[in-house]
Amino acid sequence: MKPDLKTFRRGMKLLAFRWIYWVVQGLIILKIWNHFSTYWSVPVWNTTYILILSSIVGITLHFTQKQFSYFLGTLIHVKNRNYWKWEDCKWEFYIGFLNICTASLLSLKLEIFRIFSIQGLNILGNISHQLLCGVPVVSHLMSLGSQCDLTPWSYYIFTLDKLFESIACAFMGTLLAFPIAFILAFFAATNLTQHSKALRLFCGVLRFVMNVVRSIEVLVWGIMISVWVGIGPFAGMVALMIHTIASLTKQFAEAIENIPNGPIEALQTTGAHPLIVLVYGVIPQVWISYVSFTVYRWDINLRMSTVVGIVGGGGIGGLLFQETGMVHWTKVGSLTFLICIAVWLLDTFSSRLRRAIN
Amino acid sequence: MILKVQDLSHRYERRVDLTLKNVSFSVPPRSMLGIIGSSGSGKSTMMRCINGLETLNGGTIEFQNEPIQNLRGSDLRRVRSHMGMIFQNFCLVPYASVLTNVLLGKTGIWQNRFLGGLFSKWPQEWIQEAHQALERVGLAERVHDSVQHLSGGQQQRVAIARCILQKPELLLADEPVASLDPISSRMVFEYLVALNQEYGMTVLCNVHSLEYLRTYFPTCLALKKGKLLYQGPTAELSESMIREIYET
Ligand SMILES: Nc1ncnc2c1ncn2[C@@H]1O[C@H](COP(=O)(O)OP(=O)(O)OP(=O)(O)O)[C@@H](O)[C@H]1O
Ligand SMILES: [Mg+2]
Repeated sequence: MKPDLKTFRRGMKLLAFRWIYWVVQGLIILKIWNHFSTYWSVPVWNTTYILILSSIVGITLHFTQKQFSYFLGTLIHVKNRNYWKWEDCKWEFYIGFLNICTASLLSLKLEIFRIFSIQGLNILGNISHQLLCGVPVVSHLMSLGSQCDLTPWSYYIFTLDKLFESIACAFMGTLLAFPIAFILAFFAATNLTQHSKALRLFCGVLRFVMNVVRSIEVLVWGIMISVWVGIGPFAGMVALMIHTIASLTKQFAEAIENIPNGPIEALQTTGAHPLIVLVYGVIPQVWISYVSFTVYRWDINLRMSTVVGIVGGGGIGGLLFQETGMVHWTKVGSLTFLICIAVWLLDTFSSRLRRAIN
Repeated sequence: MILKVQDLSHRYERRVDLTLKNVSFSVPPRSMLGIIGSSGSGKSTMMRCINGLETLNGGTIEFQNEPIQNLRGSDLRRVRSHMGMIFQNFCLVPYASVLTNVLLGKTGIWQNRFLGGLFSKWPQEWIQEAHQALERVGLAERVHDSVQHLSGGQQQRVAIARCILQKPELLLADEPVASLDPISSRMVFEYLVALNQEYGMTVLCNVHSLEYLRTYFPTCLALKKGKLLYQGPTAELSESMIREIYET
C-alpha cells in the first residue's frame, strides 16, 4: 500500500471547504439570532462561540461521512475513491439554503404597510403629474398646459445634440472594445491555453483581472475615469469601453470553450502552426456568436451611457442629473421621454440586426 | 521499422486505472495494420498517444527512428506533418469549403511560413493537386460546397483527400467507418488500401468488424483492457483468440 498524496490533498481541500461553509452558515445563524434578540433576550452568544461551534459541526460531518476516505487515502490505498457526490452533501446544502433565505428576508426589513401610505402616494402622484407634463404628445392631448409649463421645442433641439453624444459614446465604446476583447479571448479560453504552463498561468491571471474589472460597476468606472481624464463624454466612453472589454472577453472565451475539439485536433495532427489552427479551426466557429454578443453589448451600453452621464460621463445623462437637481420635473419628464424613444428605436434596430445575423 | 512503440503506458487525468499498460509493438514500413479490441479497450487512446494528442505516463514511441514522446512546439509539428489522422466523426473544419478542407492538409509544410495560409493564399500547384485528389475520391463536382452539406461518407472521403495532399508516411485512422453504411465503408477502406499501395503510406486503422479486418488488413494487433493481446498475421487469428479478445 503506497501513500497517495493526491488523495490526501483532495481530502484536505474538501475538509477546508466544508469548514469554511459551516463557519459562514454559523455567522448567518448569528445574524438571524441577533435579529430576534431585541424581542427575545438570549444568553451571550458571541461570534467566537459560533465560530468554534460551527467548526466542530463542519469537521464532525466531514469525518463521519464518506469523504473521510479521502483523508484515509494517505494511510491505506483506497481503491474505488469516489469524488464529490450530491447524495453525501444534499442535506447540508438544503439546510444552508434555508438558512440563507431566512437571513436575506429578515435583512430586507419587509415593511409591506408602507406601500399603502397615503402621504407617500400623494407626493408620488404630484411628481408623476409634472413628469407627464414634459411628455409632448400626452401633455397636449390631456391639455395639461394650463396647469404647468410645457417644455419649449427649442429645448428638444438642444437635447438632441446631447442624445447623439450618448449614442456615440456607446457606439465607440463598443467598437473600440471589440478588437481588444477579440484578442484577449484567445488567452482567456481554457481549452486553447491548456498545453503550456505559462499560458495557463496567464489565462488564470487574465480571467481574474477581467472578473474584477467586470464586477466594478460602470458607474464606479465613470467616476474613476472622469477624475483621470476630466468630466465629459470621453470619460463616459472609456468607462463603457473598459467594462465592455471585460464582459466581451468573458463571453468570447466561453464561446471558444464551447466549440467541439475535433476540428482543432484534426488541424493539429497535420502539423499546422497554432495561428493556422486559430484561423481555420476556431474563428469560423465562433464569429457568429461574437457579432451577436457585440450587438447585444452595444444595446446594453446604449442604456448604460445615459446613466454614466450622471457621474460625469457627459451626454444626456448629465443633463438629466442637472435637471433633477434643480427639481425641474417637467424637463426631467421630457428627457426621460426622449431617452425612451431613442432606446426603443435602437433596441428594435439591434434586435433586427441580431436576427439577421443568426 | 517506421513506428516502434515500447512499454507505452497512459492514464487519463482524474482516473484511477491505466488506459494503456506497457504496450509494445513495431510496425514495418508500407504495412496495413488493423487494430481490434472491444469498446473501451484503449484503441483510440493509443492513436492519440502516437500522434501526441495525449501525454504518456511512460514508455517510448519512435517514429522513423526518432523518439517523439517528449517533443513540443515546432519539433512536434514537424513530426505531425509526416503523420496523418482520420477520425470517426470526420472532424472537418466547419463553415469552410471542401477545397479549403483538402488544402489544409498542406499546412504542415508551412510551419514557419504560415502567413500565406492565414489569408488563404494557396500556391496554384496545391490547388491543382487538391482538385486531382478530390477527383480521385469522386468528389470533383462538390469542390466549392460547404462541408456541412455533405453526407457522412462524403465527409470521410474529404478527409481522405486531405491525407492525399498531406502525403504522410504514417496514416492513423480511428474507426473511419463507424458511422457509415456498408457501401461507403467499403469505399473508404478501398481508398485506404489505395493510399497504402499508390503512395506507400503505412496505415494503422481501428476496426470494429472482423469481416473488414480480414478483407483489408493482412496484419493485426489486438488490445484488451489496455494490454496487448495479439500481434501478427490476421489469417492466424484463431477462434479462441477472438473469443478471448471480445469476452468481458
Ligand atoms: N477524455 C477522457 N477522459 C477520461 N477517460 C477517458 C477519456 N477518453 C476515454 N477514456 C476512457 O479510456 C478508456 C479507453 O477509451 P478509448 O476511447 O481509447 O477506447 P476505444 O478502444 O477506442 O473504444 P471504442 O471502440 O468504443 O471507441 C475507456 O474506459 C474510456 O472510458
Ligand atoms: Mg474509439
